[in-house]
Amino acid sequence: MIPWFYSIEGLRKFQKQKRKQEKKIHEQRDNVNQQRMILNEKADALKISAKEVSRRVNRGDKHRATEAMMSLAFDLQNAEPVLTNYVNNLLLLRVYEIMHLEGYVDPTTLPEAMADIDYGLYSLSTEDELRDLLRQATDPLAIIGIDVK
Amino acid sequence: MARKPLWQEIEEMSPRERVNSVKQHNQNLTRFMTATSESVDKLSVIRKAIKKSEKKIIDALERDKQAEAISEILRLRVLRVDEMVELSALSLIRSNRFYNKLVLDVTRGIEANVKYDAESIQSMVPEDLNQLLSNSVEATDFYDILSNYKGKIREFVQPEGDSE
Repeated sequence: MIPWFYSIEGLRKFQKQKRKQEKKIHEQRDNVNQQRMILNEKADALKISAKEVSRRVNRGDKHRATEAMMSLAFDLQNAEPVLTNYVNNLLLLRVYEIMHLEGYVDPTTLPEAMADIDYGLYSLSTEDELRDLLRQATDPLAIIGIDVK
Repeated sequence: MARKPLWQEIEEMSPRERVNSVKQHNQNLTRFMTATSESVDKLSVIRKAIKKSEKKIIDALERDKQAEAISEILRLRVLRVDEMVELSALSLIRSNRFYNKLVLDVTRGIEANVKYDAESIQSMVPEDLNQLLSNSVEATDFYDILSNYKGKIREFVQPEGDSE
Protein backbone atom coordinates (compact mmCIF):
# COMPACT_ATOMS: atom_id res chain seq x y z
CA MET A 1 0.00 0.00 0.00
CA ILE A 2 1.20 3.51 -0.75
CA PRO A 3 -0.18 5.77 1.95
CA TRP A 4 -1.85 8.98 0.71
CA PHE A 5 0.82 10.98 2.43
CA TYR A 6 3.46 9.67 0.06
CA SER A 7 1.43 10.64 -2.94
CA ILE A 8 1.60 14.33 -1.99
CA GLU A 9 3.38 16.21 -4.79
CA GLY A 10 5.27 18.42 -2.30
CA LEU A 11 6.90 15.37 -0.74
CA ARG A 12 8.23 14.10 -4.07
CA LYS A 13 9.54 17.54 -4.85
CA PHE A 14 11.18 17.77 -1.43
CA GLN A 15 12.93 14.44 -1.94
CA LYS A 16 14.42 15.62 -5.24
CA GLN A 17 15.58 19.04 -4.03
CA LYS A 18 18.32 18.03 -1.60
CA ARG A 19 19.85 21.51 -1.46
CA LYS A 20 16.61 23.28 -0.63
CA GLN A 21 15.54 20.85 2.09
CA GLU A 22 16.80 22.86 5.06
CA LYS A 23 15.08 26.03 3.86
CA LYS A 24 11.85 24.10 3.34
CA ILE A 25 12.09 22.61 6.84
CA HIS A 26 12.54 26.10 8.33
CA GLU A 27 9.51 27.40 6.44
CA GLN A 28 7.43 24.43 7.52
CA ARG A 29 8.55 24.81 11.14
CA ASP A 30 7.48 28.47 11.02
CA ASN A 31 4.03 27.43 9.75
CA VAL A 32 3.64 24.90 12.52
CA ASN A 33 4.83 27.36 15.19
CA GLN A 34 2.43 30.05 14.00
CA GLN A 35 -0.52 27.66 14.00
CA ARG A 36 0.49 26.38 17.41
CA MET A 37 0.58 29.96 18.65
CA ILE A 38 -2.98 30.55 17.40
CA LEU A 39 -4.12 27.39 19.19
CA ASN A 40 -2.40 28.51 22.40
CA GLU A 41 -4.07 31.91 22.15
CA LYS A 42 -7.45 30.24 21.62
CA ALA A 43 -6.82 28.02 24.64
CA ASP A 44 -5.99 31.10 26.75
CA ALA A 45 -9.13 32.85 25.52
CA LEU A 46 -11.21 29.77 26.41
CA LYS A 47 -9.81 29.86 29.91
CA ILE A 48 -10.88 33.49 30.33
CA SER A 49 -14.39 32.61 29.08
CA ALA A 50 -14.50 29.66 31.47
CA LYS A 51 -13.74 31.95 34.39
CA GLU A 52 -16.64 34.12 33.27
CA VAL A 53 -18.89 31.04 33.43
CA SER A 54 -17.64 30.26 36.94
CA ARG A 55 -18.32 33.85 38.04
CA ARG A 56 -21.88 33.65 36.75
CA VAL A 57 -22.42 30.35 38.52
CA ASN A 58 -21.06 31.74 41.79
CA ARG A 59 -23.50 34.63 41.50
CA GLY A 60 -26.34 32.17 40.95
CA ASP A 61 -26.96 33.52 37.44
CA LYS A 62 -27.47 30.10 35.92
CA HIS A 63 -29.27 31.35 32.82
CA ARG A 64 -26.32 33.52 31.74
CA ALA A 65 -23.88 30.84 32.87
CA THR A 66 -25.52 28.36 30.51
CA GLU A 67 -25.32 30.87 27.64
CA ALA A 68 -21.65 31.55 28.41
CA MET A 69 -21.02 27.80 28.51
CA MET A 70 -22.61 27.38 25.08
CA SER A 71 -20.42 30.10 23.57
CA LEU A 72 -17.42 28.42 25.15
CA ALA A 73 -18.40 25.21 23.37
CA PHE A 74 -18.79 27.09 20.08
CA ASP A 75 -15.37 28.70 20.51
CA LEU A 76 -13.93 25.26 21.09
CA GLN A 77 -15.47 24.01 17.85
CA ASN A 78 -14.30 27.08 15.97
CA ALA A 79 -10.71 26.12 16.69
CA GLU A 80 -11.21 23.01 14.54
CA PRO A 81 -9.98 24.34 11.15
CA VAL A 82 -6.76 25.59 12.73
CA LEU A 83 -6.29 22.27 14.48
CA THR A 84 -6.82 20.30 11.23
CA ASN A 85 -4.25 22.47 9.47
CA TYR A 86 -1.90 22.11 12.39
CA VAL A 87 -2.07 18.30 12.18
CA ASN A 88 -1.39 18.32 8.43
CA ASN A 89 1.50 20.74 8.76
CA LEU A 90 3.01 18.94 11.74
CA LEU A 91 2.83 15.62 9.85
CA LEU A 92 4.55 17.26 6.91
CA LEU A 93 7.21 18.89 9.10
CA ARG A 94 8.10 15.61 10.83
CA VAL A 95 8.27 13.73 7.55
CA TYR A 96 10.52 16.47 6.06
CA GLU A 97 12.81 16.26 9.09
CA ILE A 98 13.01 12.48 8.80
CA MET A 99 13.55 12.56 5.03
CA HIS A 100 16.38 15.00 5.59
CA LEU A 101 18.28 12.38 7.60
CA GLU A 102 21.03 10.92 5.43
CA GLY A 103 20.22 7.37 4.39
CA TYR A 104 16.46 7.82 4.62
CA VAL A 105 14.54 5.20 2.66
CA ASP A 106 10.97 5.86 1.63
CA PRO A 107 8.44 3.26 2.90
CA THR A 108 7.41 2.60 -0.69
CA THR A 109 10.92 1.41 -1.55
CA LEU A 110 11.57 -0.74 1.51
CA PRO A 111 11.85 -4.53 0.95
CA GLU A 112 8.61 -6.41 0.30
CA ALA A 113 8.87 -8.04 3.74
CA MET A 114 8.37 -4.62 5.32
CA ALA A 115 5.30 -3.73 3.28
CA ASP A 116 2.83 -4.10 6.15
CA ILE A 117 4.44 -1.73 8.61
CA ASP A 118 2.02 0.45 10.49
CA TYR A 119 2.95 4.14 10.08
CA GLY A 120 0.07 5.43 12.16
CA LEU A 121 -1.32 8.62 10.61
CA TYR A 122 1.02 8.21 7.65
CA SER A 123 -0.61 4.83 6.94
CA LEU A 124 -4.12 6.17 6.51
CA SER A 125 -5.08 5.43 2.94
CA THR A 126 -6.73 8.76 2.19
CA GLU A 127 -6.68 12.29 3.52
CA ASP A 128 -10.40 11.84 4.22
CA GLU A 129 -9.56 9.12 6.73
CA LEU A 130 -7.41 11.59 8.63
CA ARG A 131 -10.22 14.15 8.59
CA ASP A 132 -12.69 11.50 9.78
CA LEU A 133 -10.37 10.52 12.61
CA LEU A 134 -10.15 14.14 13.72
CA ARG A 135 -13.84 14.80 13.18
CA GLN A 136 -14.76 11.97 15.54
CA ALA A 137 -13.42 14.05 18.35
CA THR A 138 -14.43 17.55 17.42
CA ASP A 139 -17.31 18.07 19.75
CA PRO A 140 -16.69 17.41 23.42
CA LEU A 141 -20.23 18.31 24.34
CA ALA A 142 -21.64 15.75 21.91
CA ILE A 143 -19.56 13.10 23.65
CA ILE A 144 -21.26 13.89 26.91
CA GLY A 145 -24.62 13.94 25.13
CA ILE A 146 -25.27 17.66 24.75
CA ASP A 147 -26.30 19.17 21.44
CA VAL A 148 -25.58 22.87 21.15
CA LYS A 149 -26.55 23.22 17.49
CA MET B 1 10.24 -3.61 -12.93
CA ALA B 2 10.06 -5.32 -9.54
CA ARG B 3 12.94 -4.75 -7.19
CA LYS B 4 15.34 -7.64 -6.61
CA PRO B 5 14.92 -9.37 -3.26
CA LEU B 6 17.23 -7.97 -0.59
CA TRP B 7 19.31 -11.14 -0.15
CA GLN B 8 19.83 -11.42 -3.89
CA GLU B 9 21.03 -7.82 -4.12
CA ILE B 10 23.56 -8.50 -1.36
CA GLU B 11 24.66 -11.85 -2.80
CA GLU B 12 25.38 -10.21 -6.15
CA MET B 13 27.57 -7.47 -4.65
CA SER B 14 31.33 -7.61 -5.17
CA PRO B 15 33.37 -7.86 -1.92
CA ARG B 16 34.27 -4.18 -2.23
CA GLU B 17 30.65 -3.13 -2.78
CA ARG B 18 29.67 -5.20 0.22
CA VAL B 19 32.26 -3.52 2.47
CA ASN B 20 31.01 -0.09 1.34
CA SER B 21 27.42 -1.12 1.84
CA VAL B 22 28.12 -2.33 5.41
CA LYS B 23 29.91 0.91 6.21
CA GLN B 24 27.04 2.99 4.80
CA HIS B 25 24.31 1.01 6.57
CA ASN B 26 26.21 1.14 9.85
CA GLN B 27 26.34 4.93 9.64
CA ASN B 28 22.66 5.10 8.71
CA LEU B 29 21.78 2.77 11.57
CA THR B 30 23.55 5.07 14.04
CA ARG B 31 21.71 8.11 12.64
CA PHE B 32 18.34 6.42 12.93
CA MET B 33 19.12 5.12 16.43
CA THR B 34 19.85 8.70 17.51
CA ALA B 35 16.65 9.90 15.81
CA THR B 36 14.70 7.15 17.61
CA SER B 37 16.09 8.25 20.94
CA GLU B 38 15.21 11.90 20.24
CA SER B 39 11.69 10.95 19.19
CA VAL B 40 11.18 8.85 22.33
CA ASP B 41 12.37 11.78 24.47
CA LYS B 42 9.92 14.07 22.68
CA LEU B 43 7.09 11.58 23.29
CA SER B 44 7.97 11.41 26.94
CA VAL B 45 7.73 15.22 27.26
CA ILE B 46 4.37 15.21 25.43
CA ARG B 47 3.01 12.45 27.66
CA LYS B 48 4.01 14.32 30.80
CA ALA B 49 2.18 17.39 29.47
CA ILE B 50 -0.88 15.24 28.69
CA LYS B 51 -0.95 13.90 32.26
CA LYS B 52 -0.65 17.45 33.61
CA SER B 53 -3.47 18.67 31.37
CA GLU B 54 -5.70 15.72 32.30
CA LYS B 55 -5.03 16.39 35.97
CA LYS B 56 -6.10 20.03 35.49
CA ILE B 57 -9.35 18.82 33.91
CA ILE B 58 -10.05 16.32 36.67
CA ASP B 59 -9.22 18.85 39.39
CA ALA B 60 -11.53 21.41 37.77
CA LEU B 61 -14.33 18.84 37.54
CA GLU B 62 -13.82 17.79 41.15
CA ARG B 63 -14.15 21.44 42.17
CA ASP B 64 -17.32 21.74 40.08
CA LYS B 65 -15.56 24.13 37.64
CA GLN B 66 -16.94 22.38 34.59
CA ALA B 67 -16.39 25.30 32.23
CA GLU B 68 -12.74 25.48 33.21
CA ALA B 69 -12.46 21.75 32.56
CA ILE B 70 -13.88 22.16 29.06
CA SER B 71 -11.64 25.15 28.39
CA GLU B 72 -8.59 22.96 29.01
CA ILE B 73 -9.83 20.47 26.42
CA LEU B 74 -8.32 22.32 23.46
CA ARG B 75 -4.89 22.23 25.06
CA LEU B 76 -5.31 18.50 25.74
CA ARG B 77 -6.47 17.92 22.18
CA VAL B 78 -3.41 19.65 20.72
CA LEU B 79 -1.18 17.55 22.96
CA ARG B 80 -2.94 14.34 21.88
CA VAL B 81 -2.44 15.37 18.24
CA ASP B 82 1.25 16.00 18.99
CA GLU B 83 1.43 12.51 20.49
CA MET B 84 -0.24 10.84 17.47
CA VAL B 85 2.02 12.65 15.01
CA GLU B 86 5.14 11.83 17.00
CA LEU B 87 4.12 8.16 17.27
CA SER B 88 3.65 8.11 13.49
CA ALA B 89 7.02 9.83 12.98
CA LEU B 90 8.63 7.32 15.32
CA SER B 91 7.29 4.45 13.22
CA LEU B 92 8.92 5.96 10.11
CA ILE B 93 12.22 6.37 11.92
CA ARG B 94 11.93 2.88 13.38
CA SER B 95 11.28 1.29 9.98
CA ASN B 96 14.43 2.95 8.60
CA ARG B 97 16.43 1.85 11.63
CA PHE B 98 15.15 -1.68 11.22
CA TYR B 99 15.86 -1.67 7.48
CA ASN B 100 19.52 -0.81 8.03
CA LYS B 101 19.78 -3.47 10.73
CA LEU B 102 18.14 -6.00 8.40
CA VAL B 103 20.63 -5.26 5.61
CA LEU B 104 23.55 -5.63 8.05
CA ASP B 105 22.21 -8.89 9.53
CA VAL B 106 21.48 -10.40 6.12
CA THR B 107 24.93 -9.36 4.82
CA ARG B 108 26.56 -11.01 7.81
CA GLY B 109 24.44 -14.14 7.28
CA ILE B 110 25.32 -14.33 3.58
CA GLU B 111 29.02 -14.05 4.43
CA ALA B 112 28.54 -16.99 6.78
CA ASN B 113 26.83 -18.90 3.94
CA VAL B 114 23.30 -18.64 5.33
CA LYS B 115 20.64 -19.11 2.61
CA TYR B 116 17.80 -16.63 2.67
CA ASP B 117 14.42 -16.58 0.95
CA ALA B 118 11.28 -14.42 1.11
CA GLU B 119 9.92 -16.40 4.05
CA SER B 120 13.06 -16.19 6.18
CA ILE B 121 13.36 -12.45 5.53
CA GLN B 122 9.69 -12.00 6.43
CA SER B 123 10.25 -13.84 9.70
CA MET B 124 12.99 -11.33 10.58
CA VAL B 125 10.51 -8.42 10.58
CA PRO B 126 9.32 -7.90 14.14
CA GLU B 127 5.56 -8.26 14.52
CA ASP B 128 5.55 -5.07 16.59
CA LEU B 129 6.41 -3.00 13.54
CA ASN B 130 3.12 -4.01 11.95
CA GLN B 131 0.88 -3.60 14.95
CA LEU B 132 2.32 -1.00 17.22
CA LEU B 133 0.35 2.03 16.13
CA SER B 134 -3.05 0.89 14.92
CA ASN B 135 -4.41 0.40 18.38
CA SER B 136 -3.12 3.63 19.83
CA VAL B 137 -4.32 5.74 16.92
CA GLU B 138 -7.71 4.07 16.62
CA ALA B 139 -8.26 4.12 20.35
CA THR B 140 -7.55 7.83 20.58
CA ASP B 141 -10.49 9.34 22.32
CA PHE B 142 -9.65 12.93 23.03
CA TYR B 143 -12.52 13.34 25.38
CA ASP B 144 -12.61 10.04 27.24
CA ILE B 145 -11.84 11.99 30.34
CA LEU B 146 -15.10 13.91 29.96
CA SER B 147 -17.27 10.84 29.61
CA ASN B 148 -16.44 9.85 33.18
CA TYR B 149 -18.02 13.08 34.31
CA LYS B 150 -20.89 12.99 31.86
CA GLY B 151 -23.59 13.18 34.51
CA LYS B 152 -22.09 16.15 36.30
CA ILE B 153 -21.46 18.25 33.21
CA ARG B 154 -24.79 17.37 31.66
CA GLU B 155 -26.57 18.49 34.78
CA PHE B 156 -24.81 21.84 34.52
CA VAL B 157 -25.59 22.51 30.88
CA GLN B 158 -29.21 21.38 30.89
CA PRO B 159 -31.11 23.23 28.18
CA GLU B 160 -32.91 26.35 29.23
CA GLY B 161 -36.01 25.68 31.29
CA ASP B 162 -34.99 22.16 32.36
CA SER B 163 -32.43 23.50 34.78
CA GLU B 164 -34.57 25.97 36.60
